[in-house]
Amino acid sequence: MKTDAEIRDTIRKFVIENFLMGDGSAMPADDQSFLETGTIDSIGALELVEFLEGALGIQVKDTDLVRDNLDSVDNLARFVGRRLVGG
Amino acid sequence: MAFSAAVLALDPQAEVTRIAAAIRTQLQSLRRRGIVLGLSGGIDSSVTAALAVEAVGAKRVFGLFMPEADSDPESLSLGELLATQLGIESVQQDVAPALAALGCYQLRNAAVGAVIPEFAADWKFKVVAPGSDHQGLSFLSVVARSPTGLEVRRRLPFAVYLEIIAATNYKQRVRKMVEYMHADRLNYAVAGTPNRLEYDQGFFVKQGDGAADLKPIAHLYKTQVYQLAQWLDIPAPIRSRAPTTDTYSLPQGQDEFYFGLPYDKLDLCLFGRNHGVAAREVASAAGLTEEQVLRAYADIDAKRASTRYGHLAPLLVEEIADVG
Repeated sequence: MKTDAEIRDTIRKFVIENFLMGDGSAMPADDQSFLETGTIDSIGALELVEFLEGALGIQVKDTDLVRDNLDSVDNLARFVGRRLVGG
Repeated sequence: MAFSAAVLALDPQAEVTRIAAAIRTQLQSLRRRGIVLGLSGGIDSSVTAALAVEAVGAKRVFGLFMPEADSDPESLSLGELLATQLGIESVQQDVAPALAALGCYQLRNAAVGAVIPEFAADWKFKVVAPGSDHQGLSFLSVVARSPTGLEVRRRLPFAVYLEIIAATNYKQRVRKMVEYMHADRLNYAVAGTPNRLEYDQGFFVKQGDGAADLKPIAHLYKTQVYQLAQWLDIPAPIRSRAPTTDTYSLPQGQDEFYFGLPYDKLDLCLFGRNHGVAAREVASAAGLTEEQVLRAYADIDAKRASTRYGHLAPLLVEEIADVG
């Protein structure tokens, strides 16, 4: 089972490598919105879902596709944490 | 005065005169002698063609009908009806063989089969967005129907979504290639036909239907395009036809695929967003709830952000002052 810190680290690495072309200095703070900071757009959100389902093995339902679950490192870490414990 | 659909009312005669004058000036600037455009049997290309005739006369407007394997036959018949009424020269170029040779249908069907294993070539399908009541991030689903009527719906994973969109975009890009062949042959310019909703919200394929030398109705809300259509006496069957993508084998409305709301309601939301109108005022005029209008505002912003790429010209490392 991954710890919260490991989940956050995995998410940050994915965002930096995939959306920021490796530029870690452009990574928003954990509580900042990906959409509002222009880090990802709505198509990027689909990519994020693929990452959650592929790399983290989480099933994402249509109703999970909301900003409260996906739109920041904090939101993603909470969502992933809940799912990993079966919530 | 209360906000209402009246904000979109225009003086059709004055607007036609203004657009026709702009087209003539643009052609002078482009050093082209007339206009080529694709005719889809839809309201936007029909109004654009009629405006081109108003601007430069029927002899300098050339229309193209470009059906492919998934096209509704009505698109061709309505396009022909318009060309006959306008008295413009036109030709039919079936683009299905070119698309088949490029692998458009094969690639697309293989991608659909990746999420619906039972999908076969004799099935029909379309790609749909969640309805306007969906409160989350946007995503697309494929809806496929077997010859026996079995319907299957699956959310599209990112990679499959890209495969389907990329293969399907061949359609708009091959058509544009044909338009430019004729434009080069005739020394004409190519007119694009987006209305304001499509232009603003990025509902076009870059280097496909998004490519053009001029876009005469890109500033007009869809409701306003219909106002011009009436004044220009566009045939009634075209004016009464529901906006369609005419891109997938199952019938698909534009609101179902992309916009989420019917055009008349979205026109009011876009106008409201552009002019800082409170959501509750737009809601009252559009017959929506305040919450639906707020979601529409957010969706307008999100689509502008995600389709910015479509509007951009190639990016250079530094400006080259001597060209352009």
